[in-house]
Order: sequence, then C-alpha cells, then structure tokens
Amino acid sequence: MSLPISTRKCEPVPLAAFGLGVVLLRTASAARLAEWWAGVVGLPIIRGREPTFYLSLGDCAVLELLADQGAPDERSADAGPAPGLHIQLDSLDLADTARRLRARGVEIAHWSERGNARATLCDPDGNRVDIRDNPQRPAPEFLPGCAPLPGDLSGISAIVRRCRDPERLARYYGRFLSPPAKAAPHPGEHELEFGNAVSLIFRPGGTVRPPARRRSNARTAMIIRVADHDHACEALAGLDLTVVEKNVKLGSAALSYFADPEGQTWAIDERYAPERFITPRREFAEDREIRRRLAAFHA
Amino acid sequence: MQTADILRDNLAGLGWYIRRTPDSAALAEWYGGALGLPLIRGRVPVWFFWAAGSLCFELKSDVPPDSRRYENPDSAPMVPVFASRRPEVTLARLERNGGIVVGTIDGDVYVRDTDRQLIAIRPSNGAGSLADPDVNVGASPIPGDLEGWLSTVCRVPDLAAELRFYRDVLGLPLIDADATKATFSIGGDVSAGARLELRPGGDALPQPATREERTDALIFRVDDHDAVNAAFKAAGLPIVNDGIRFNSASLTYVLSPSGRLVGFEERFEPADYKTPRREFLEDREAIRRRKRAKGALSA
Repeated sequence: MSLPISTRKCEPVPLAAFGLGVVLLRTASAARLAEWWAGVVGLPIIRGREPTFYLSLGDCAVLELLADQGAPDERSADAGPAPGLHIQLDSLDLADTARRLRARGVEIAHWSERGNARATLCDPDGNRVDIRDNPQRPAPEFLPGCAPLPGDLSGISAIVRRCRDPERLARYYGRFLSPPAKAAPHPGEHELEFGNAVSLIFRPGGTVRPPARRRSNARTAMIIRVADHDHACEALAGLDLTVVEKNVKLGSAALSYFADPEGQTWAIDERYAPERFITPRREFAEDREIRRRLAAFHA
Repeated sequence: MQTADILRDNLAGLGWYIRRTPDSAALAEWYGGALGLPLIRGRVPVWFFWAAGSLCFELKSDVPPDSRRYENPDSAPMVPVFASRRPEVTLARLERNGGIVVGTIDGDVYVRDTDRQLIAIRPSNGAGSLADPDVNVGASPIPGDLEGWLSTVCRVPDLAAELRFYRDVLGLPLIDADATKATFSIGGDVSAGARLELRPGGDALPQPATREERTDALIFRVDDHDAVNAAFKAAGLPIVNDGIRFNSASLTYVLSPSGRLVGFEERFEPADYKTPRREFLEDREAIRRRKRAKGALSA
C-alpha cells in the first residue's frame, strides 16, 4: 500500500512533516461559515458547533472554522477575507461542480483555462477558494468518521499563498518542506509539498502584513502535522523563525506557531496518542488514521 | 376539541429520531463514516445528522441511557429504516465499518451498529420521495446510494391498541392496515414520504421517569406546543418530561400504549429565543415548508 503521507525527513531540517493537518479560518460566526462550506461547497462536517466547526478537506486534512469569542485584543486582528491564503480543491469534473455551485447561488468570480481549468469563488467572509479540474485524482478512500465528499470533489490539493515575493517565501518554507516531484506549473510561481499530496503554491499578489502578536490574532493559519513537537521545535530553532506562540500544550496536542516573512501564521502540531491525553476522550478519527498509517509504515 | 383535532391543526410533521448511547462520539463516527449521514453539527454529547428533507437523526450521550439492547429485529421496540438506492453499496460500507447484518424481514436488512442497536436498510422504490437536492440545511450532500431516513418500524405487543392510539388519539393518517401491520404517513408538511410502521412483536415497556431512560424516540414538529401539551393532559395520556423548555424550543413526550416514546416539539421563531443565536437551517427549512403548505391550504 502506498502511503499518502510522507515519512521522509525533509532536508536540511528533520521536521518529519506528515502533511497538512489543519487550515484554520477565523470568522465572526463559525456556524454561518460552516453552513456555506458544508451546505454549498459540500465539505462534510466532522464535528463541531459554535464556536468551532471541523470539516473534512479529504483524507486526513481538516478545515477548522473558529469564531472569535475572546476579548477584543484576543480576536483576529484582521477583519474581512483571509489575507493572501486560499484553499484549492480538486474537482473530478469542474463543469459539474460549477453547475452544482451555481444552483446553490454561488457566483464564480473568475474562470481560468490556463493549465487545468480553475474556478475561483469566495465564501461569505470573502475568503477565496479555487476549484481545479483534475479528473485524474481519485476521491480519498479514508473518511474521518463523516459523510464522504460530494461525488464531484476529491479534496484539497493545495494552499495557495498570494505573496509579494514568491521566491523568497519558497526559500523560507523550502527549509522544512519538500520540493515537488514535478516543476511548478506556471512561470513566476513556486511550489512545495506538505507531504500528503497537498502542495503549498506561492503565487504573486497579496500584501505583506505584520506577524500576529499571538495565535488568536491570526486570521488564518496553516498547521503542519509533526511526529514529535519538541523535536521539531529543536530542529527549527536554528532557522531564525518569527515565533508567534511556542509550546502551546493542549489536552491532546502540542503546537507552536510561527509567522513567515510576509506575516502568514503557520504552525506545527503533534497530536498525542490517547494514553497521553490530559483529559480522556475518544481520539479523533483522522488522528487515529495517521497513527495507524505510521505504525503500518514502520512495521 | 378532541386531541386528534388539536394535533391535526398543529402537527407540522416528523422532525427527529433520537438514539441514546454511552459514547456518542464513537457512534457518530459510524453513522457519519459508515452509514454516510452528513453531520449538521455535533460534538460530545449531542450530534445532529441530516437524514433528508428537514429530518434529523440525533445521537446523544448526555446521561447513562438504558443499557438494554434489542438486537432481535422481531422484537426491537423502535428501529429507524433508511432507504438506499444501492443497498449492496450501503451494506458493504456498514459491514466494512463494524456493522453486523442480523437478518432480513420483508426486504429490510437489519444491521447492528457498533453500540449493538439496530437500523434497517430498505431498497429504495425509486420514487425518490425523500430526495430534494435543493434543500440546504448546512450539511454536505447525502451520498448517492443513500436516500435518507424513510420509515420507523415499531414492534408492539398489541397492534390493535397501538393502531387506535396513532389513528384515533393522535389523528395520524393511516395508509394501510391488516392483521400483521399498520402503516401511517407521518411526514406531514415538512417531511413528505416519512412513514411509521407498526408490526406485532416485542414487549410493553414500563413508563420511564425521564426520557433519558429510553434509547430511542421519535419527535414530531408542532406549531403550538402548549396547545398540544394541554390536549394530551386533557386526554389523560401518560406524559414523560412535561413541557421541557429549551432556548429555542418546547418539548413534551407521551407514551404509546406499549410504552414507545413519542415527542412533540415546537421550534420558536428566532425573535422568541431566550438567548439570541443563529437559527438552525433545518428549522428554517421546516418552518418554510409548513408555511408554504398552510398558505396553499388557505388559498
């Protein structure tokens, strides 16, 4: 069985990234945004109710919608659409998907025929979503304890970073993410891989923003799964990264948050095995699956 | 006015199936990932799945429920029946995820879930009465093979008494009846196509002190909870949890002659919520359908 996650050690930093874990979008109302991502786009809800919803992006990747609920200085600093980050989903038949979305009242903001055809739309918060035609990519077999993706979608294929300096950001992330097996598809763009068939594409555009003061100020975050948070932190220590919050210990995970040179928040995230949970609960299906695959790989 | 007359005026239609279980997170993985019901919202202890139209299937682990399990399809007091366009696909998915086929009665295949409670899969007759692709309740689409929660089979020790209760006391429309079964149309204006089927079998169940003692219950949507509640009292029906007030709803349960738990719930308009919150889309959809039907009637 081929593993849809990478267990190789990225050079030169041994981050041992197991792929993109979570894309976080902060919003005024997670329920309202979940209604759109689930009821309109069709991403299955894995769990959640206000203030947090978790939706399947396909396989083990998760979209987290989180409502700002804290004191004003703990809320997302940037109101409005996510600055410079959007999700790219793959469609087995883009024309079909576009028809389905239009029937739900979605306006396709942009349609590109360059390379694989691509439709761009916006969620109710103004976050951009690309849907790319890719009939070659099958829908994932694994379901994280939720309904399957709609028949026309096969899940997330990339996070697209609109940035001022794609080359610089590619160098920055290239210190701990792998280069793709194939060359970047378009001139001026750069691409890296998270490790679970999800790419990080740097595309010209966007604006430079100051780094978030703390993680709750980050409008968006892309969160990378690692096997060992503390070890990954040690490995990253020499890279002169801008730290947003380090060693955030939760009931079942440890995370550290960083800001890239253009102000985008990203994080590393170790999910504990259940015996290490501070508060006992059922392990999330996607976390259990990752552990199962790792065990199978090492066996 | 008789209870049946008051209910006839107030009964919008079927709303929810509630199943209690010790570990709702574990069972939610099965109903989501195996059966394929799309989650609308949920986290421990309550999970709401979309089951077609404005129908919801709810899993709860708020209090330790009845530990008895009715694993015999011939005597299980209440079993939800899901229609499938491709039963072989649905059943394969259920079995792959730990479901156990325990028998077939009248074409319905009974499957034990991972908490040893029963559901049944019925080949769809192709009429597609539950299918309504235009509905948006904020959930991803129901998978192509599954049509939705079509019916509920209640095995009762005294079929004649039970038939009289649903037909004469509650005033539900009887579709057909003979010595071995009685079938009611219970969808009303909001859940067209939904059925209640009474079959001989099982035992009478004692009156519970609270609703939480029962694993399974049906809940109808009504326009005016207080009027219905008063009618039940006037008729001397055995009431369980008299007039529960939630933030956005009122609910009363009554017992059928054989002790099956049936609830009647009014969902308020948002202006009447105790604490303001976003209206659930399934409620909005049910209210829209009810208003449309009433408007058509008065026209």
